[in-house]
Amino acid sequence: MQPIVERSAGSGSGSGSGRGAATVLVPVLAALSAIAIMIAVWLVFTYVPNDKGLFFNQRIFYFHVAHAFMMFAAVGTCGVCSLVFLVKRQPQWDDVALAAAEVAVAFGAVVLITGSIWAKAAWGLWWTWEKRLTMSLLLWLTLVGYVIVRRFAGASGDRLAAGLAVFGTVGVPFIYTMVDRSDRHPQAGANGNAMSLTGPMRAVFWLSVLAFFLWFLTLVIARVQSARAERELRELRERALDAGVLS
Amino acid sequence: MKKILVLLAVLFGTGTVWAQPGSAQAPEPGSAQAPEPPPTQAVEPFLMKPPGSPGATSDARSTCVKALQTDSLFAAWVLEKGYEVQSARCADLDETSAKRRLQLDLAQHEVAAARVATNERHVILAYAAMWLVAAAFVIFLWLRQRALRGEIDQLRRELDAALKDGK
Repeated sequence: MQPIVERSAGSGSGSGSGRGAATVLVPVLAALSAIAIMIAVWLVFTYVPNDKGLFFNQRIFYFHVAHAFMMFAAVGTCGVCSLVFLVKRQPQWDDVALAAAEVAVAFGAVVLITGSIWAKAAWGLWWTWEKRLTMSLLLWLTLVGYVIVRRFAGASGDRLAAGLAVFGTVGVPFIYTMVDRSDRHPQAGANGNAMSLTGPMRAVFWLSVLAFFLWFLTLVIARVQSARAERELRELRERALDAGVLS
Repeated sequence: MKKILVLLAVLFGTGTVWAQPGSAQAPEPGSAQAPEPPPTQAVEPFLMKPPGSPGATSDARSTCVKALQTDSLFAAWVLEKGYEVQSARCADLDETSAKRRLQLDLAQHEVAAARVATNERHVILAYAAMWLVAAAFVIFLWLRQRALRGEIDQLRRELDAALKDGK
């Protein structure tokens, strides 16, 4: 038993103490994010007034935009970690990039689905090829491409996917700055900018962002643990093959 | 107001084009078909498109739009005809009918406004979608982690047994 543990710990794929810290951190973060999300939901439906232009439907905004921010954060994390992985070739960075990419796909799916429902409520259309929607869809497809490459491209898939992630990250600033006065995207505040919100709307919006940031951290750390377990399993299989346990 | 005029122009213009089979051309200004209209600015048919609409929906409509775009005099003539039709319709209404119609319009607006202001269906749908995706992702993570842990533990046991046998 001992030699295997030592080799696994020295492989750089996650030390025993690191795994222990993450094991504690994930439930703590999950509990904190659950509490914060419950408070945010309660405030959205009881405290925040109706928007003058979008009325009750504007309540989708607090979670739709918070999810979009978290998708951007996940894509940014994935891009930066992929870049570092390409330069240093250290597998820890690749684990974080993969975790962030999968979390970004989940958050992106929520953004696209809730956005489509909001579009139906605000415009009467499920989808329109408006520039922000189109770019968001392209970014999400890029992330789905990343995950598919990681799963099916074989041994060099991590480097191919890392390149794709860096490419996808470049799109984030474009999407964020794409809302202007000529755009038909529903506007969050008077100036078409989440930063321009005031009063209760502003407070509850940023609370939602904080709640989903905690949720984002929980998911990324949990997924990193999973990625490290996958790496550990690969190493064990190699050892088992060497030892003749597996044929 | 401009949009209403343009809409009227196109609707009326479509009928005008159909009334002249085989001819997509605007009538000659000054002819018997079209009285000499005053010179005005050209209309902008693209304004009629609602957000995300696929564009002109029929051949007749696109023919009409082309005719309106190519001849501003024809467009002005169509607008004038639209005004005439609208005025004739309003003249038919007596005072009581007009008031009743106004009341009905207002009631309709109030119902529509209340429906928009308290539209919970889309909000509920959006929240349900959000929780479903989150739940699916968490279940996916949990199942995968459990499967990985199980496989890792089994391999470790087998490797330990192999190492002991080797010694």
